[in-house]
Amino acid sequence: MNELKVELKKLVIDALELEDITVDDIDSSEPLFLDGLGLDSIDALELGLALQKRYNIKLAADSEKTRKHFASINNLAELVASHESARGEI
Amino acid sequence: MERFQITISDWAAFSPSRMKREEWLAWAGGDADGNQETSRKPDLPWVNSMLRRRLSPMGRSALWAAGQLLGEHRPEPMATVFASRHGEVGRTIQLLRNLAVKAPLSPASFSLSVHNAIGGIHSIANKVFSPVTAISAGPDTLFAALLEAYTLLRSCPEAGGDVLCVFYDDPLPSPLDGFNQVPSDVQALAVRVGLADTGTGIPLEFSLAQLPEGAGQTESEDCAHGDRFLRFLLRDDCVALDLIADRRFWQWRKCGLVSS
Repeated sequence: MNELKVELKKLVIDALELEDITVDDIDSSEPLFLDGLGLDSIDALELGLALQKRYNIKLAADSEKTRKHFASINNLAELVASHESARGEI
Repeated sequence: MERFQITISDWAAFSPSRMKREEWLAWAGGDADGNQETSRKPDLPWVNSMLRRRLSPMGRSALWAAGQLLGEHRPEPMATVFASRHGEVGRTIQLLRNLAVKAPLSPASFSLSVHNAIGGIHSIANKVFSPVTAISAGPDTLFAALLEAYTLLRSCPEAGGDVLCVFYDDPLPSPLDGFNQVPSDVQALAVRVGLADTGTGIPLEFSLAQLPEGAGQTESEDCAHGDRFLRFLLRDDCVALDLIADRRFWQWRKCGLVSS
């Protein structure tokens, strides 16, 4: 799980071209948007695209579930992990 | 023919090899080689890093040039005209390439490919509430921007402020680079424009005429207007600049004494 979190932090940094921010600067429980890391609505769309490309996860653009998944690295990691295990079972 | 008067009270220009005033003055004086360092990047400490990350090198140089004229006191209530012939065409080409292979488009890249994106970042970064205009007007985009500045100044003279004009362009990227282009030294040029009687700066007079069809296809058609205009501004021995673009005939003259 921790490896996955580091992987997701790298994905966020690369996909959103975050200057001067390293994996260590992102707290897994911190909010990704607004007050926490400070991402905005364009970042949300870009991150959705990155998740689709990397993990083949498709999310509805504006649903409560998506908001929850995008809240923090921890939540994103849970989403990706459950998606991967669901795929493994097929 | 009607002539219009403006005053250029300040300027700043950027290229990867020149950014200081004395470097551009030497360039205008004929020092073509200039600084051998060709990879300087503009520093934008006043733009929040979360906004800055989205700027292309050209966008950074445009905001750097604008920032040099804004001084310490931001925001300054000054209307701003952003002008670029091709804008962020490199992003548009990448989006079109993605569309062609049915790949998903980058939302960030799309939002920044629009022509007013750099003006938008400028207004957010500097908390600007004054009007911001984005112009693309073919080969004479720079002059269209100065005309826009003049009309802004004349349409609300009671505002009393100046207009900031920011002109920027990059060479056309592949596959558009086959079009005939004259290389330009200036990547971004910012000028502070006021009405004629402001007292300081370089007073200029210009006129615009439409030439008849078939006339005016001269060598100046596709020249680097930013370079030509900056050289005209900076050289005391340059008092006139005549340029033709798409049969539009622009005549620029320095009037009166140069006082700065």
